[in-house]
Amino acid sequence: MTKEIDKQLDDKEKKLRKKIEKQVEDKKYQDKITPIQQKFIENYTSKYGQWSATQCAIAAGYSPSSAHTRAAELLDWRKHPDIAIEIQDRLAALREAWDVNRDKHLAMLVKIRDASMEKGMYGVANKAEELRGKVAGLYVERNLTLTKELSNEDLHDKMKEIFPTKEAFLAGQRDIMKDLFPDDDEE
Amino acid sequence: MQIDKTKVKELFIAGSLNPAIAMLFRAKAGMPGLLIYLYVKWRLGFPHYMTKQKRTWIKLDNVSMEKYGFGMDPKTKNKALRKLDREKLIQLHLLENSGKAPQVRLLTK
Repeated sequence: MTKEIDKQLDDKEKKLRKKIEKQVEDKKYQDKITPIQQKFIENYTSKYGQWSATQCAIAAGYSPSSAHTRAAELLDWRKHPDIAIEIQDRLAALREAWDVNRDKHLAMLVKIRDASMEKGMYGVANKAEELRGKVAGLYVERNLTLTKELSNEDLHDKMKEIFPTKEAFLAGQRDIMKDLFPDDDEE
Repeated sequence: MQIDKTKVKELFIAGSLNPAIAMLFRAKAGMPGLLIYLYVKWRLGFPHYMTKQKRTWIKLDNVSMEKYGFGMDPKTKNKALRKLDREKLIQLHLLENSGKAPQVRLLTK
């Protein structure tokens, strides 16, 4: 378990973990995790991302009026370092299962496609196949944002910027006429 | 790099060319900029061959530009397009390193 955690945590988190472990060793009373606390840990890790800490505390059996305080206390590593360590260990194991990579993702999509084809759910099978194609890079999604056209005022400002004086404007006009009608220059 | 005079005269007669805007394009990107403006304006006059819809995006491929008298070096064209895009005179749709021709939409009316 410790090796898995070492892989997942960055330097800052590793330092914190060491601090928590030291806190567990230095604890004045080496009391065990109570059944209600154990239930809180189970709720918190199994419903991670779905339930809030307060909801987990209420489900574990704490009073609804003080559940938010109890939840905050239980998650505070300074007050309950053993619980913090237990939660971290459990989440590390869960993260392995949650992790998505290309192979896992494709394997799951194939499973879904085959199962839905057998049941005659062609819409689901089609979606799974489409997602497989997206993973393989067969579909290229292109978006184009249209830029707003220049208004008359913008155009006027641009003209003023490029041709600030009448002479510059006339010179520009002469240049373009030379480009467009080079033979009519003598006239 | 030369401008096909007949095309320019056609454009003037059709009344679709705004000399002031052409001046802007020339001032910002030189002769290639002007050629791009003329080519886009000229191509905008033709509806789509199947849908008969008016176009807003024009493909600037080297072969047809050369064929219709607006030819220029591809690198020169690229530089001019980027300059015009930076100045927000055109919107450039470019799939880089794809080998496909850039498409352009005029932002000036």
